[in-house]
Amino acid sequence: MPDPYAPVRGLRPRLLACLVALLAVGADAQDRRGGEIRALQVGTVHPISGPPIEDGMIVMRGGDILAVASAEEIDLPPGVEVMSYPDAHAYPGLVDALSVAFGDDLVLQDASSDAGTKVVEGLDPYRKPSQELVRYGVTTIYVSNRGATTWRGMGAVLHPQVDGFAPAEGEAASAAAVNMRVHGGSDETHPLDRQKALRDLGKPFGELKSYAKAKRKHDEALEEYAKEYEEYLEFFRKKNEGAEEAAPTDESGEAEAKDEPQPAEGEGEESGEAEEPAEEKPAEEQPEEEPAEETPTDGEEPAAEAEEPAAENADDDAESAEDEAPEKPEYPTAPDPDPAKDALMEVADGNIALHVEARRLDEIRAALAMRREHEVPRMVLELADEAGALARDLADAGIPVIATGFADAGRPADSKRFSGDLPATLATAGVEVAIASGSVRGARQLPLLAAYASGRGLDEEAAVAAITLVPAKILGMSRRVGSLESGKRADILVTSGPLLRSDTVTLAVLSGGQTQFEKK
Amino acid sequence: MLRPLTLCAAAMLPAVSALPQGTGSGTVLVKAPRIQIAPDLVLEDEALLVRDGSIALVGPEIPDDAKRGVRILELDGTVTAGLVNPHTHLGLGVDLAERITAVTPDLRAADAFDPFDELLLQHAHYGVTTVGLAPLSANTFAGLAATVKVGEIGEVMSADAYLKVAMVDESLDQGRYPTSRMGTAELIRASFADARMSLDPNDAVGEGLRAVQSGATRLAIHARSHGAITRALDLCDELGVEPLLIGGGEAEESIARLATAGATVMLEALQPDDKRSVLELPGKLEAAGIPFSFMADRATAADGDDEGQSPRPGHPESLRMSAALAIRHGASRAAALASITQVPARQCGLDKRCGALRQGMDADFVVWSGDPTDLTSRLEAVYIGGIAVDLEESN
Repeated sequence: MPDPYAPVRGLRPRLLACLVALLAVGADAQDRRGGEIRALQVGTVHPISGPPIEDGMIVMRGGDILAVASAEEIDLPPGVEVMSYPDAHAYPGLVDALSVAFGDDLVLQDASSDAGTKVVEGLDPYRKPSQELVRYGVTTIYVSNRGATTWRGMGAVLHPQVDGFAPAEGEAASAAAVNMRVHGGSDETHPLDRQKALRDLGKPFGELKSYAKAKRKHDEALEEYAKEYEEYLEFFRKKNEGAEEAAPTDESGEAEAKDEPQPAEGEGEESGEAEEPAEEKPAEEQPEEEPAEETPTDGEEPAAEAEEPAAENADDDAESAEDEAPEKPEYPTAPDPDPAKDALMEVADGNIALHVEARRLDEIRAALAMRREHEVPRMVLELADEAGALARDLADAGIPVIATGFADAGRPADSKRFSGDLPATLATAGVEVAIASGSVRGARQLPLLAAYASGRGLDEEAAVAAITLVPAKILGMSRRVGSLESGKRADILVTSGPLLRSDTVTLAVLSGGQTQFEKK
Repeated sequence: MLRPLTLCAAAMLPAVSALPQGTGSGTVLVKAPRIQIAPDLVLEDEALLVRDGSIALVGPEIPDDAKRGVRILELDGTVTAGLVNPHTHLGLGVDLAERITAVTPDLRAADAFDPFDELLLQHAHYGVTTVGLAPLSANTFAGLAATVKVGEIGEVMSADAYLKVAMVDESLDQGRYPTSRMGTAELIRASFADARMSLDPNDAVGEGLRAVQSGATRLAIHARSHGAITRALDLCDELGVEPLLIGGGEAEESIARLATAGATVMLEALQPDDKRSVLELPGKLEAAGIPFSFMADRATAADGDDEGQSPRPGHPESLRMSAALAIRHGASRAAALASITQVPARQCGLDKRCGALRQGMDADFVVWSGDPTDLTSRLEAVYIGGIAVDLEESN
């Protein structure tokens, strides 16, 4: 095999118009807009978002993909390092939408969580088996709590690396979705008991109304408070102006020197600053009696306090004036903060998805009923062994499924729960299906699980998409990962042959443009 | 009652219903683009001549005049021998466990066999055409395993495939001897010594053990740990028999000795969640020239809410999954296919009847859409004794 790092020169001079525009700016390998330009040339590039490209090239700048095209169509600037795998295949890094990597049972089997618990806070980047994931091409994972409880908290999207993990960009790093487990009890329980257990599933969503109302009311009260405070300040400002005219010089200067809580950098000295709307952002330095999260903006109150004593000192005749002064408005009490409800409100608003583990048919039905009743905008089903029977309903409702543990191999032969055909059945009905591991070691075999699903009727291309682009979409990450496209993270898996074949081996893995594994 | 998913599953195999209903009795020429007559031998665009449920002639051996006037069965895909699961308990559970007495080499699993066991047909639906029905490891000399041809009505092929001896913790019992590993070793030694000395013509136990000593019955020892494997190899040395290990999870440490002794191993089916050392063991055994097979005898994964239940029977699909996992971790395709066909057939003493598609063997074959060791390949049809299995009745 040729040296994969041998620099490739003299590529055909034919240029794609778009690539000229992209690459012309870089006179050498170091692009001036940041990041080294590198290229990867492989026998076949499988972008997933489009058809395979023979003799393909992936150009990267820094951690992102700059261009994906046939090698013929790309003319690289001189000095660009080209990794060359002429007989290999390149796929986007794999995405595991149900992972338990980088956590121990205390975190990922936590039965004491609520919807607001953030799994990412308990993860440990130094767990050895998890650090191996990237060697198997897994570059994005969604880690969630699998504890035996209904509300499992918020999972995180991470990029596994050989030395730990890099959190995903933005909110997904700590709160990609809220996880929920719908469980009616064991198979041996009486159907009526199960029914009872499933009936009140969506209760917390119902309770959100009063919480949301209280928050809204508080926001309105803050606005009102800001207005009243401004009027209150205005009164003293006017009075001070009158006093300055009557008794100028040193006294007022002294008063200013005494102003202890002066807002930083001269903020709040002008009356205009104090008019900042109260709801803009919560402040850290606040009167102690107020709960930290729901207090008004910086600048406003300190400024007020600053001016108040000044007013008192300014005028000896103040006493009579104070009688006329408006009453100091009272800061509105915020409702008790509740991270669980905040998380559910994010779900209810459709900002993040609700991932629901529901294995049995009755549990899946209960989840669907909850979704209808509480109008949950983005629901995703996990495990869902028996979802095949409801494939149509799921397709109509636009609910994707993360299929895990569907392989019959390893299940008891006398199992009444059968799901080997699950991915195919769902996909045929039009449901978006992702294939996930559900275990740290299992994540190494994602291509094998996809191959299995393909052998049980799922189209081969759909099977590869089920471990790349589809889970990326489900996690709301498809703008950054899941396919080989310009502008996405340079997460690339280079294999010796087609991904789903048993004898295919991993040759190299890049995550965010960094080489994480390379077969010697 | 059929569940809706059943119907979906059945609907996804339209090709199957279109296949001819098998060769039946008489002579049939089975043609296919790829016939894998042995794990390392593929015939392209060739044929098998099947006569009365057996393979009469293979590929180039078939003279032109033999092809004239016979019924022709055109198959599309890759044809391999039916898969062999060398060690299973089907759904029999306690019916194959004799806990009270430790030395029962005269017990026959065939006596507990239920020809209508639902799992037999299920095996056929996943391409497995022969199984070894073994006693559980509930006592030391567990008994004789049977070999069974699967199908709607199962059929015992042989009642004394191998004598199973268990050197695992499950075979110990605090209520009877042996209660410890050293007790197990002593009991095995003493039992064979007694059998040698026994003059009683009605001593069934002694007769069973003497059959092992004379080489008439194959000995299969269930041993997982390094220590148990070492003792098993010692025992085979003493008896002068080729070691056949069941389990052998920690065989890696004994590879050199296993190779020297000419041992073969029935490995527990691999799972995607297995440790890397477990997944790499088949490749290492192959490199050392030690034949291995996979057995789908018990389920390793939980089935949702079945915690606390007794061990459940393994799924026949585990065999192909194991072969694919073995390839992903270093085994060759040929060794992987051999591990679910030829090797287990030989371990069960059936190498003249199944595990390959040679002259004189049973016409048990499976049609796959591609290489069976790629999980992307679908099972298209199964023939047992030349007769097609109705796959539409599958769950």
